[in-house]
Amino acid sequence: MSKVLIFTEIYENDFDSSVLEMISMLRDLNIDSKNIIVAALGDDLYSKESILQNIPVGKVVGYKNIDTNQFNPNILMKLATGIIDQLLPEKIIIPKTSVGQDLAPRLAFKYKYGIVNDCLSIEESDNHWIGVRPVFGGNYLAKVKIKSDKQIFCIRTKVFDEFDEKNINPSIEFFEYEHNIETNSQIIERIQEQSDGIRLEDADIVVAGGRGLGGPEPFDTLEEIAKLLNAAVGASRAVCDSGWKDHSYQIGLTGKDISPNLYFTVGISGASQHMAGCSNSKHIVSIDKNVDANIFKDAEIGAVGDWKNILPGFLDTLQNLVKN
Amino acid sequence: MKILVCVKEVIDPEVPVNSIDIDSDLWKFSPKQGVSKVLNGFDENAVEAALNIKEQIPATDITILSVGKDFSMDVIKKPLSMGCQNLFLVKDDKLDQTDPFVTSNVLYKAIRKIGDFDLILCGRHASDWDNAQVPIGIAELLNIECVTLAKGITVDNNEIVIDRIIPGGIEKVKTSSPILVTVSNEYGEPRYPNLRGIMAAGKIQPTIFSLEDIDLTDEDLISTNEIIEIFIPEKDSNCEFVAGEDEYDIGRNLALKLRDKNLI
Repeated sequence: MSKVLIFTEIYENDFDSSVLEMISMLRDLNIDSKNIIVAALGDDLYSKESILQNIPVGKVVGYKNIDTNQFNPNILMKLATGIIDQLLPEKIIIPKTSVGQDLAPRLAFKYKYGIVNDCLSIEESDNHWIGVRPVFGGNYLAKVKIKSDKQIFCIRTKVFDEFDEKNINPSIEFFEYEHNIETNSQIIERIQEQSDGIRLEDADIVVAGGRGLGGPEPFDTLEEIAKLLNAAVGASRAVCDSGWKDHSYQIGLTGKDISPNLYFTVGISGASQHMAGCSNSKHIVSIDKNVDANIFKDAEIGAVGDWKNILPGFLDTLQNLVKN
Repeated sequence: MKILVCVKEVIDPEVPVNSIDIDSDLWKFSPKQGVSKVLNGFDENAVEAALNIKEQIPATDITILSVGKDFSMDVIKKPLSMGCQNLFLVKDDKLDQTDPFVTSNVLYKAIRKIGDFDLILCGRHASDWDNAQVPIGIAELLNIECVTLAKGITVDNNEIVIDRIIPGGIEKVKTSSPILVTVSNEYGEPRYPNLRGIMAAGKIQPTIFSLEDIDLTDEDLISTNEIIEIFIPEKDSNCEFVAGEDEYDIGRNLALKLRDKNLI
């Protein structure tokens, strides 16, 4: 079995934990972590050897003293290209992070690798790896086989548990980058969203509204509920595209990926592209007027009816519960 | 400024699953009778971005390009009704369902045939196969840089600044022509065509290329992937519905139920 290469990002103080999920996934395919090489992408890796040493695989490679211009994809592409030129791996695993989802297709086209993007898992059949991925916004799953031996699988994060064996330490090899690293595109500024309350991604409880709310005003009630529950407020794509809420509220395939303990939805029908961003919630509780709404297939507890009448009963009771 | 926008017709993503047939020999999706095709929503965002640049720089010329087996003219001409100038189509039975590599090859060769562009815009992905690969493929084949997930694009002389969506915010990317940019829904709602636009679009004839016209070889048409199966994921629906005397009471019982289960 040839070695497998995983790309991962290295930050100031740690590596991106998705690499541990990728190692778990490969273990399910009987790939021993000692046979995995991790290609590290990040700034000034030479000074971060202690971070690299904690990645539990056979070997970690990376470039010594590079300024990636805040993970500029066009610079990362040059670095990844250099690493592939040195190692010529047959199988490449890329976690579907913001950086990874951009990098994977670039490498595929550059090197004529076959690629299955956005895989939920990889199945093995007759010594072939088959990527399983959602299509049509998650309404269907497709099993996709790459015809050539050179294969890239870009894998969704937070699907696999993190690999937790700590007693494996890699050998580390640094490369020197000898070509021109300059790119035409440069990141000149990063602007973080200002959020008043708890971040959606970190919240234990998320209260979200959809198209069924009919306008921006009902979100005031959701904000009120969220305040009582110490929850974050989210919204469906329809709500954000209509301008009722800013896109920073958007949950779903093209928005935020959340995994709260309780996901409480009002007027969200549960289109697959929305569910793609919240299916890791532990408990889904939903109010919607349509008993056949898709959201009730995932919800554990449901209330069918007009939110205009249900929410006041809910809010009044909640206020009493909180007071006591 | 010369802008090219690549667009695709897709089955309306809003229709329920049972309005779509799956051909289990070819693993091809087709809409049932009466189910409409629409322009991929993210491509409309890309068209809107192009039109905003034209409003700022009137000497801008916007060309639309699409590839496929056949087209519904009212769908594929929508960008013209919105205010774009030219339409090029690559049409062939072999383009019925193509994988991202083949689609990128066809678009690349068509672009080479049409001419040089300062800016190529694409939707962030198509809402049918959700691949998000073709734009990057075109950029790689044209050997130009690519900036994905734009929420805003500003053009100032030779400088292009892109607001790119990243987790938790945006980053400003300074770049210059030629560049390929993918546009996300955060860019904002695309405009509706007005009557004048629809009239103007009616007069524009698309230029239709065959595969020979763009010098496409058999090798360009070889797909790298094979679809083994497509299926609808099964879900065990175990939703417990809360009852009540009226809807206010349902709300009340819902809150009590959540407290019972220690969820709040």
